[in-house]
Amino acid sequence: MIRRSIGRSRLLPYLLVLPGWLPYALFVLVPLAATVGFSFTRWNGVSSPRWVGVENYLSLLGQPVLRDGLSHALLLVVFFSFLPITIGLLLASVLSTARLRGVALFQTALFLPQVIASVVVAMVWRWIYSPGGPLTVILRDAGLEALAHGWLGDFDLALPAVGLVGTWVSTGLTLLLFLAGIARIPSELYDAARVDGASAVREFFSITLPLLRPEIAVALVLTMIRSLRTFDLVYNMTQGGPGTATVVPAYEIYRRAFLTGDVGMAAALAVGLTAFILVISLITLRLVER
Amino acid sequence: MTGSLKIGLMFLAGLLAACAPAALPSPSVSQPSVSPPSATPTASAEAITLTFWDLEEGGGATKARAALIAEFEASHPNIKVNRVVKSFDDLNATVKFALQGREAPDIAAVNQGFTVMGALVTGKLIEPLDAYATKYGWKDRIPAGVLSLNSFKPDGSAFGSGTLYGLSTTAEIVGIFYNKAKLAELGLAVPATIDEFAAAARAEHQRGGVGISFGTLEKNPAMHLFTTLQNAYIDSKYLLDWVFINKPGLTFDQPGELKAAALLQALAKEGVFTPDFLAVARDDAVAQFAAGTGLFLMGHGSWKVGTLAEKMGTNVGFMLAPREVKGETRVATGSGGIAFSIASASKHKDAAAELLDFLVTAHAGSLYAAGGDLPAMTADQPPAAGLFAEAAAAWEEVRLGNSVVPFQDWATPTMLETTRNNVQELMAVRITPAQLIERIQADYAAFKP
Repeated sequence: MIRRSIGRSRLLPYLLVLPGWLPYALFVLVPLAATVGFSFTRWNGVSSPRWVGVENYLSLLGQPVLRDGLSHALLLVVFFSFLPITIGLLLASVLSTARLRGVALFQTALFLPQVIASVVVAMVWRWIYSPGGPLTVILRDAGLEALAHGWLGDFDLALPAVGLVGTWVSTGLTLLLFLAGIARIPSELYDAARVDGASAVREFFSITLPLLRPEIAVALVLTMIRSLRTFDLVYNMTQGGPGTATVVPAYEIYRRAFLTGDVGMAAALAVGLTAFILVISLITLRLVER
Repeated sequence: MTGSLKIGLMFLAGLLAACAPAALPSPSVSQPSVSPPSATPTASAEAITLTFWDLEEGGGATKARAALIAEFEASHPNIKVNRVVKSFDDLNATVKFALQGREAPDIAAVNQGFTVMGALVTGKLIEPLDAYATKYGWKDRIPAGVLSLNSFKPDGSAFGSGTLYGLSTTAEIVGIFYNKAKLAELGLAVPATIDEFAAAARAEHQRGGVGISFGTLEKNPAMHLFTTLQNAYIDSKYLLDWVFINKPGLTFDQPGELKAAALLQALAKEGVFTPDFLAVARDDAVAQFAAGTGLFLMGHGSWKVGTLAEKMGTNVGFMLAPREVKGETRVATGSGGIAFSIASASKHKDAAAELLDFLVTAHAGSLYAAGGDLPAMTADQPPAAGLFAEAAAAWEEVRLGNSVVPFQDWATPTMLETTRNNVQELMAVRITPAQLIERIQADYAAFKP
């Protein structure tokens, strides 16, 4: 009796995991392994792939577009990750302590950008940034002539413009995470601090911030991965332009795989990007979760 | 033990999957069956469904083809056509994979050049059409220049001659639209030389208007703009060779190209184009021109004739870039419109060829013309007067003068990005004309077909 139940319990966990693991393996692990395989070939998507070893990786290292793409992605990390986290922290502490009516309304409104399809977001912001669009009009009325033109056509402003859209989208997520985190903090801590005469700012840095460490770690990793993976905003707003001002690695992967028919190179770039994101995430987690 | 076993199993799965490329979708290497022309004109009376992948061109041609397909179905009761319409980018990204799949379309719109048509020819995914061309007499109806653009060497190494792989229904040329009323206000005649053209644009800019309406947020108009100006200076034969024959010694570094780049940058610097043109969407520039802003509209071609004729009536004209020397035969960038090819995997090739033929009859031509597009074949109705007639006349001039040059992005798979990105940089005065030429030539030299 006992031996049989031990035998059953050893296999059972794996059987329970299998239905979830199988689709994961099929739709994530297999394509991932296939991509790694493709990265060692030269393939135009039609004829048979031709084995070329590490040639793709070597030639990538020498290409300026890789350096540009990566530096653009890193700038986007500031807009998609650091800014939303900072704003999210501030907003969360304000919303949780202030006695506002309809806090739920604020939360919903700020979270809305997360729910809208990214193509719609891109189209709307493309209009907002257009010459003659609302942003240009506001800037001109405010007297800021130097900035009052179509940002998406400006070689220096196009990337920050895309970045600000990401900030707008991601702030809702970080806000939600931090609000949930703050709710977790026992209010006795704040009461005790207030009794000791701590100001709101002091409370924030001494209580809120340290205790939100796990949430900050999650927010950092999620938003950093998203920023390094950005494709849809760039594709729908600027197509990497003007010139190569908003080229990001994911857009380069798409371009090579589908537009120029260089699937092997696209795969190599994809593998490189994946490895890079993995490393950055691990480092971030290690730093924050100390 | 359990933990490492798990890891071992996953590693094995990954290894096995890595061997997958060999087993993954191999192209259906069906023998290119050049079926002998059947005795009867229509295919057998069995019920057939043809899947037809069409291109959404945003103009009359797509609608004309829809009407023609309906007519075809009416006259061929046993054939049903399942028509799927896709955008240009969507088409280019998906047609190569679709033609390898089990549900491959029978006919698909295939972009000329190495990237799409070349890859499909090499992979033997589209059918050689020479036998059908002879059977239906396409060579008598469609000019050799248009047919040659859809011809490839069977090994995919060169195009511009060889075996026919696709049929174009329309022709298109890049050109300049002009506002007749504004020209009259300035007291100028239609420019007959490139210098007169530049002067006219500058004059309009001087008096506070927009010299050249132009928007290039989507990058393609930048390339069309450059090739239009380039055609004012270069020798057409050199560009034909440069695009179609990739061999050492052919270089983009010509005095004509440099002059064109210099003129473009000068005009951009002076502010003759729509303000903030890098941020203005392509269709917004067209809409602004149609509403009366801009003496000229550039970055577009004959495919906009329908739209502009509808909005501007008789107030709009079409011209090719005038040459340096008055009276020289003009050069135009153009080609047959997108080509339609038959899939090698199709089970109804004869029926598909029948449909293709119907799309290039003189009757079809008259429908394309009615929609404002230049037919690739001789149409049985003379073009009406107005904007369309001007575009048709321009097409005739370069066809008869044999001075049609191909779209530059056909030279290499990366030429489209290289040209349009760098023209944008040139117009923003971030690189010099010499650098533009240099980068285009570098892309060309790096390509091995």
